[in-house]
Amino acid sequence: MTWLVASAERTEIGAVRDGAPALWRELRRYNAPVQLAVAAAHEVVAHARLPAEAALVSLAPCQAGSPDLHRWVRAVEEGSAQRMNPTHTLHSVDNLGLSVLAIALGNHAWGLGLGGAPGMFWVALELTCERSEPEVIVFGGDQGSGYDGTDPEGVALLFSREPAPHASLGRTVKLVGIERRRATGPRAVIANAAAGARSMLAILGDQPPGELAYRVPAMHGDGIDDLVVTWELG
Amino acid sequence: MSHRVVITGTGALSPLGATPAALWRGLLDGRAGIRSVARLAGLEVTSGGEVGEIALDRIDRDEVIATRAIDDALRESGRDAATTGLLWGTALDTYTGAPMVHRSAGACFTTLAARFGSPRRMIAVACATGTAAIGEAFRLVREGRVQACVAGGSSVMLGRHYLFGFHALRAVAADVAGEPADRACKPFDRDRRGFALADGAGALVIESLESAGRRGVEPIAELVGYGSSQDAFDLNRPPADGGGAVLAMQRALSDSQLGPSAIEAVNAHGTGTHVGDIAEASAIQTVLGEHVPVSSLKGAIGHTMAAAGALEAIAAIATCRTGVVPPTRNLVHPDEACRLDHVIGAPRETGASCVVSVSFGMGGQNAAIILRRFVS
Repeated sequence: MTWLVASAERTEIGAVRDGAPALWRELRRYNAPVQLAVAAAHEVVAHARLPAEAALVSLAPCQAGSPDLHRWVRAVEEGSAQRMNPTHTLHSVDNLGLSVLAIALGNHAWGLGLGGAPGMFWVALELTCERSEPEVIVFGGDQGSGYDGTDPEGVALLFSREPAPHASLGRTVKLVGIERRRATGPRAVIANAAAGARSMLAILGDQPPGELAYRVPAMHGDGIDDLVVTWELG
Repeated sequence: MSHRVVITGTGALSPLGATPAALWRGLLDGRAGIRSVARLAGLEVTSGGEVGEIALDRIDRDEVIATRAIDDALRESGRDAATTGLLWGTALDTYTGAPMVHRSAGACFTTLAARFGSPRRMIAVACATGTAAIGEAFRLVREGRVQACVAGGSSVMLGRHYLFGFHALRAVAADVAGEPADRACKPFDRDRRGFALADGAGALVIESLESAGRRGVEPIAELVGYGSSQDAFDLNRPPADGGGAVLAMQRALSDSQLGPSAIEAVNAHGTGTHVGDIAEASAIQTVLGEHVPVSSLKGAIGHTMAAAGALEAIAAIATCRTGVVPPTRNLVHPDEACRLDHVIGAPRETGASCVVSVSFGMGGQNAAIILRRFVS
């Protein structure tokens, strides 16, 4: 059993830049999904007891890269550039967010990056149930397109083995489990690492106490399984 | 309940050939998989490792290579994908030519995963991906959460912009006038200057012993431990003392309930980068001492990124089965700062039956697995 004790969502780069200058100095080199994912993670870390020992699960963007990276790639592939900016090279790296957060927290514990395939957020919840660490931080970010960097977003969730109310919802939110069933046919999905999590978080505060079987909308799934996440709300 | 975990099938495509046997034979013979790559002519880096058996101009080449390795592993094991999980890394997005065509790594994984049962997990911890995928599959099988998984990774990053990018990060070996391309990567050598990028895929079927027994399948080897850690140090380099690598190896030993003296050979990450090799050597010295035979594949096949840990695990299995440790190709003058019992020049008959295989990802994710000759 594990409890969701804090969650955070970020969609405005400007709010990070202007509202948290020290954090922005750490993040400004990176691409928008990583900036917003790590900014969201820092929000939930404030509620963690031992963030340096928490298990970390990061979600790589499904829409990878950045406008800067893709300009370089195009120029290199078309033969009009003979070098690349090393900072922009990092925008292609799928474990970048995990590394950045681990460094910030001084975290040497178990950590795992999940790649940019649709539906990996639900795998992150399964991992959360499987792990034995006292706390697990799940975080990720994405964007509408890596070519133009539109609609960036980041999300983070802090889980604890110790029962405690969710920091902003003011109620306990227990993750009971995730059930998978093979769908009868392929499902159309939106490949986005953060959207499914945000969609689910949006409804947790409004539900009556008791068990909630959250049926993951097909577009937020992996295109293969039908998924149900079971919560127990206080 | 804890289950014994065995390997019942492998598949490998590397610059040394398109089967595990070709990889092993090439390593023992000291053959070079790294060559001058024609399509890179004119760049500062022209050495690399190609899987010549697969057409080079396909945008879905990552999927083709991965499918071949996965199918070979499933065939050897006698399992079908529908009753098997998949833990796989597909490295980074693929780009080809002008006009540029782009295919995401996630799309590749989704296509590969469609025919598999649960779990289906895309692992992404840079150069440690293959080893972490194997380790995570090991954990799931041992805990009884699943009977069997295919684990490993594939990579087709031998393109212009990844070469430029890693060159900008001072990770790949730029050409040197007069030096043959196959000498580009020199793990642990005093003259090393980086790795050679390479394409490849490695797949292992990881299964509970009970499941293999029910099917009447003889295991190839046993997986007995897994450890992982994070450096929390720097995006581009490990700490000089290899502190994160030490943790990963110690955790693997603890997980296996083995002492350091049980480890009879090390399949090293050994990329041939200046700081990476020093940190790794320091970590091996700290955990295992200086007298365990150490070998790196990357001088022979280059750095296959997400596939590296899986291909190295397949070589480690061959060591467990034969007792032979392959040489580190291109290691001629071991760096004093990397003082270890390196296997140089020719394979060494050691009788080793228990091997640790380690991978250390850029950004600081580390993974170690311990493989052992199977004894029923």
